[in-house]
Amino acid sequence: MSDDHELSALLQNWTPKAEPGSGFNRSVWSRIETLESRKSSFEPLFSWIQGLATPRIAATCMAVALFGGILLGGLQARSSQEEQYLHSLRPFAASALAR
Amino acid sequence: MQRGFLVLLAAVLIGVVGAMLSRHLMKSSPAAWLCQKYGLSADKSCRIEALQTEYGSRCGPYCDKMCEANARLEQLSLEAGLGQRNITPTLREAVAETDRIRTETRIVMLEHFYAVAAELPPEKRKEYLLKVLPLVIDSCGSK
Repeated sequence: MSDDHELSALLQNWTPKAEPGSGFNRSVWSRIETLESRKSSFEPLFSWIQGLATPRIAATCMAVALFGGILLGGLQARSSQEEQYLHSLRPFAASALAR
Repeated sequence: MQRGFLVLLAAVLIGVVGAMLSRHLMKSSPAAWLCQKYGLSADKSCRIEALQTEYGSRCGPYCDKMCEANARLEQLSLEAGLGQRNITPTLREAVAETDRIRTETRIVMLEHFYAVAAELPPEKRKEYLLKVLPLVIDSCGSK
């Protein structure tokens, strides 16, 4: 039993000294640098989006989007009208329209 | 950055709504498109609309007959296929009946195309007929 007490005391007083490997610090810093360079390479791609927050630019953007949508919708409607006419000549479609 | 993304999203939504509205407002009757494409006068436009309505009324009975004939053909061909697996005279007659109705329908279509072409300017008639004749004439897989 006294051996157990001595062993317990020895274990309590013993502090492990885990030393990192020689390249540990260097590898941690290189990982941090890699992460930061990835963030900084994406930022210029999306930095223009911050400019949209300006009220004048936002209003212009909305107006361009609305005009562009109207134009595209009109062009699309026009191109499908011929197909709609040809479809209306098919007997089943024609009789459905007449009913 | 977040505000910028919200503005971008709002712009995309506005563009989509604008496109849908534009498409809806530009929707016109098929005959109205034809009149606009070939630059027809108001009188001719009315005539074309009337021809289209008359054509639809003429097609109705043929469509009903075709539906009945197809239903009969389907039943007979299924019975023959599951039974003796040969072409009976009744089945042959049912096939011929659908061909007769299809022929009459194609004649009605051609009559309508010619009536519409007669209302168009002479130099536009060929263009119009080349667009609509494929509806009546099978392509033989060449196109």
